[in-house]
Parts: sequence; structure tokens; C-alpha cells
Amino acid sequence: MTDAWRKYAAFFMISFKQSWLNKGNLSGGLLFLIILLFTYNRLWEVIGLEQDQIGLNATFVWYLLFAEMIILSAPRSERILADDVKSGTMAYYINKPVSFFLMRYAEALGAMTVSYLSMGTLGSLAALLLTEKPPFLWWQYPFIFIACGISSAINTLLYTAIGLSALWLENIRTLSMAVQRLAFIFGGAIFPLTIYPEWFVDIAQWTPFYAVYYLTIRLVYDFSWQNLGEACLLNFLWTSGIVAFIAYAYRKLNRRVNVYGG
Amino acid sequence: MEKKMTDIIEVNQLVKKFKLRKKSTGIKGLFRPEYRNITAVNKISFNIRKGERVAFIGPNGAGKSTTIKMLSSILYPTSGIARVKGLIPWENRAALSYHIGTVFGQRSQLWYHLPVQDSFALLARIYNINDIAFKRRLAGLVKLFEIRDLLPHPTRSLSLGQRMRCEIVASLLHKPQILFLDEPTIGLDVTAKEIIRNLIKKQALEEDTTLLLTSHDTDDMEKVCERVIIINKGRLIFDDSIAALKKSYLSKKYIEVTTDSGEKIRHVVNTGQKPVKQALDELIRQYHITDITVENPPMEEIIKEIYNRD
Repeated sequence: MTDAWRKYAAFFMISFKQSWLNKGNLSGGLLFLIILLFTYNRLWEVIGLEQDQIGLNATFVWYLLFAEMIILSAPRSERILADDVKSGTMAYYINKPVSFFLMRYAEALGAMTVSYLSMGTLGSLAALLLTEKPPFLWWQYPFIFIACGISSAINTLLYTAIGLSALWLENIRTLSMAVQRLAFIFGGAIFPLTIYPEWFVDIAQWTPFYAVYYLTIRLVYDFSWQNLGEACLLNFLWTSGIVAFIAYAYRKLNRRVNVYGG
Repeated sequence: MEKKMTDIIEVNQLVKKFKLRKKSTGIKGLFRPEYRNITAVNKISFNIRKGERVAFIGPNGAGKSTTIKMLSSILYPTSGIARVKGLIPWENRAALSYHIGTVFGQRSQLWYHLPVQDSFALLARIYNINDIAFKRRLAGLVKLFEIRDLLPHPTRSLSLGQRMRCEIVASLLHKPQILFLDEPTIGLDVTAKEIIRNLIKKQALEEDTTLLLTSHDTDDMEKVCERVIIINKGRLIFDDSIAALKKSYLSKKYIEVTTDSGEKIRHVVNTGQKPVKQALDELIRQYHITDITVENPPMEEIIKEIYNRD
């Protein structure tokens, strides 16, 4: 590992350890996830019985589990970064041989990884208890788990990038909330996009949420090498776009940074 | 300006203006906001030699911190040029970062919730210091700054004085040749200030570190530095040795005594005519004293005096 990556690995590890020790936060998220799985399982069991579709609940519970793992495991890194920009904290890191953005992203990834792994482990156990049998074959599970983990990392990157928009926006919370709502709708984070009308799916396809969320979570009920490849390719393209925005905003920020009390 | 070979910091006609939005009440202001320029630093020039300990002082809002932020590559200037170790700071941030250390009294570079030792380890990673070199360097600094007991404690649990000692250690881990200290004693009590000043000076002398220290406390410059640059309203108004400043402008001392009846009495002593010790002896004979403080004249008074003489 080069020196450059070693420093970001150190930030990742320290945040990983801190998040692991913060049992309160961790158990709160897990409890919410399990309640959500239980509630939706009951809902889809009833719908499945009415429609005479046995196993419908399994598809939706496992779909929901991976969707929530992507969404809930991302820490609120946009707020931290926006505060850093507004308060001038970021300025004090400019004269250190480190990218402030990558440092914050590495920290966010550390926290995300702890959440993702614990939600993945306990959530999978809960889903298994609720549904007897998952909608995929067991050998496919590691691929889905890793693909959704990567999506979660991209999702974290997206939110960290939103923090940079504090350069232009007085309050980034509105933007952050708007993105979150759009992600739920266009990313199919609650229901798969197949249940929406075709025109809606056509629009969704042009948003990053379609790739980051839906294409990856779709592997839960429709796993194939082709779908996995498509998810990887589109995620890579959107990530490149997000990285390009970050590089542009970060360059601007470095010149425009102001420090109060100077 | 004559350029010396040993100059480690060169500042020439440096200007920094901030654009501030005017407060407007009308609808016009929503669509066409008006701005005004504030000149924080106005064409200042000076050079600093390697190993020099320079106090950069002035009242609040004089432009001290803005200058130090430009020299430490945080801010871009509006015009003018500066070179630190031969590098233009704002154009060579990464390269310069290995040669400079910064301490900002009102900001922390330590991670608030982490034990101090973990913050140091992260900073060592940032500066690519290998483990053996880091341990050796840290051991030396821990001994010098007497912070062994503080290492396992999170930054949030430290007192301001303890935190400041750790901040200085953090800024010295990568063995910088130049240390910028922006108000390192701000908010500290008298004892903690004295400890910090002594440690800063000791370290600078031991490692031949160039110091540029900003403060509005004249005691900081007296105890730590050998040269003083005074700025006011962004302009450089004095640049000479501490001895010259003392001789010309620091000849007065303020002595405040508290008597056993709780009365506070303030005396001004001209040290050119009467030594402080003699003045104190006279006061002790005259009153039943419970507390004594001896202070330099405030910054504002020195500046007023400089302007008056000019």
C-alpha cells in the first residue's frame, strides 16, 4: 500500500473502531431495521395470501433488507462536511498533506462498513427467520452482499459530495432531503421498480439512483451474470460522474475557502 | 527589498481584501446584492531569517491572523507575493506542508473524541512518518512538553493549557523548520501562559525552528521572541528587535495591587527612571498587600505611542 492510501486507511480504521464502540447508535439502527422487516413481512404475507402467491413475502423482505442496508448504513457525512465548509474547519486542513474530502470520506466509509456488516449479519438472520427461504441461491449471496456493499460506498460518496455543495448553498439539508426522497422513489428503495408504470421507469433510468440502488438490489430476486455486469458498469459510470463533480467542487473550494476571525 | 540568502520567509507588498455582502433591507438587495471590500492586510513587506523568533503583534482585527494564514498556505492573497522556504505558499501547499507547522489557538488539529495519542498517530500517517521515526520523535516531544499523562485521554477532556501543549506537539511531529503560532496563549491563565511560552522558546532554540508568533499579548513577544513586527489596520508600523521596542515603547509598567481591605490600586512606573523592584518595595511599605500584578502597557497604547511619535 502506498503512503497516500495508508493515511486514508488509517482514517478508515479509526472511524471503524469508533463506530464499533458506539453500541448505542449501532443497536438503534439494527432495531429499526428488524422492526421494519417484521412489519413488511406481515404486510406481504397478507398480500401474498390474498393473491395466492406463496413466497411473495420472502422476495420483498430480502429486497427491503438489502435496500435498507444500502440506505441506513450511509452515515450523515454531508452534514459533517457542510459544517466543515461553513465553519472554516476545512481551511485548517488545507495546509496539511492530505485531501480533506478523502479524509472525511474514509471516515464515513469506516462508519458505513460497521453499520453495513452488522445490519447484513443480523438483518440476514432476521430475514431468514421470517421467510424460511431467500429468493436467491446461497452461492449468490456473497455476490449480492458485496455488490450492495459497493453501492452503499457509492451512496456514501454521493452524500459526502452533497456536503461540498455548502460552497454555494446556505443550507444543504433541503438538497440532502430532496436527494433522499428521489433515491427512495427512483431507486426503488421500498418497492422494486417493476411495480411502477413504464414511463416512470424510463425517467428513473436517467438518474444515478437507478444504478446505485435498484440495479444492485434487483440481484436479490433476479440474479444473473448479465444483471451483475450491468449493475457494475452503470455504477462505475455514475461514480465517475460523481468523482468529476467532486474534483471540480473541491478545486473551487480550495480557492474560495474563507476563514472567519482572520 | 534586500534579499538575504538566509531568509526563510519573504513577504513583499502582500495584500488581502475580503469581499463582504452589505446588509440590505429592500427587494433590490435580493437581486443585486451590494458588496464592500475590507482590506485586512495592506501592502506589508518583511523578511525573516532562518531560526529567527518573530512576534507578529497588533490589536484585534489588525490583520495578523490573515497574514499568517496566507503564509501558511490557507488563504490566497489579493495581490503581492510571499515565499516560505522558497515556495509560494498558496501555489505549493503540499510541498510546503512538510516544512511548516501551524498552531491556531482558537482551533484544534486534534480529533475531539480520540485519545491524544491516536490523534498523533493519525498526524504521523498524514505526514508519512514511519513508525520508528514517529515513536522516537514523539518520545522526545512528550518529554519536552511533559504530556505523558495526557496521551491516553481524549482531547475533549483536556484543559485549555493541556490541550495547547498537545497542539504544539502535534504541529512539531513532522519536524517542521518553520512554526506559525496564531494566538497560542489565548484564553490561558497566567501560569499556563508562562509554561507555553517557555516550552515554545525551548523547543525553538533546541531545534533552530523559525517562529512566527501572533498575539495581542505583549508578554508573549517579550518572553519568546527576539524581534517584533507590529501591524495595525493591515499596515506594518514597526519592525525591529524586542530590545529596541522595549527601550522606546515598553518603558512603562503597570502595577496593580490589592490591599487587605479589597481596594485595588493601580500605579504606572517608568522603568527608565525607577526599577520595578524599587516601585514594588515602596508599595509594600505603604500598603498591606494581598495581591500584585505587573503588566506591560496594552497593545493599543503602544500603537498609539508609535503613531504619536511618528
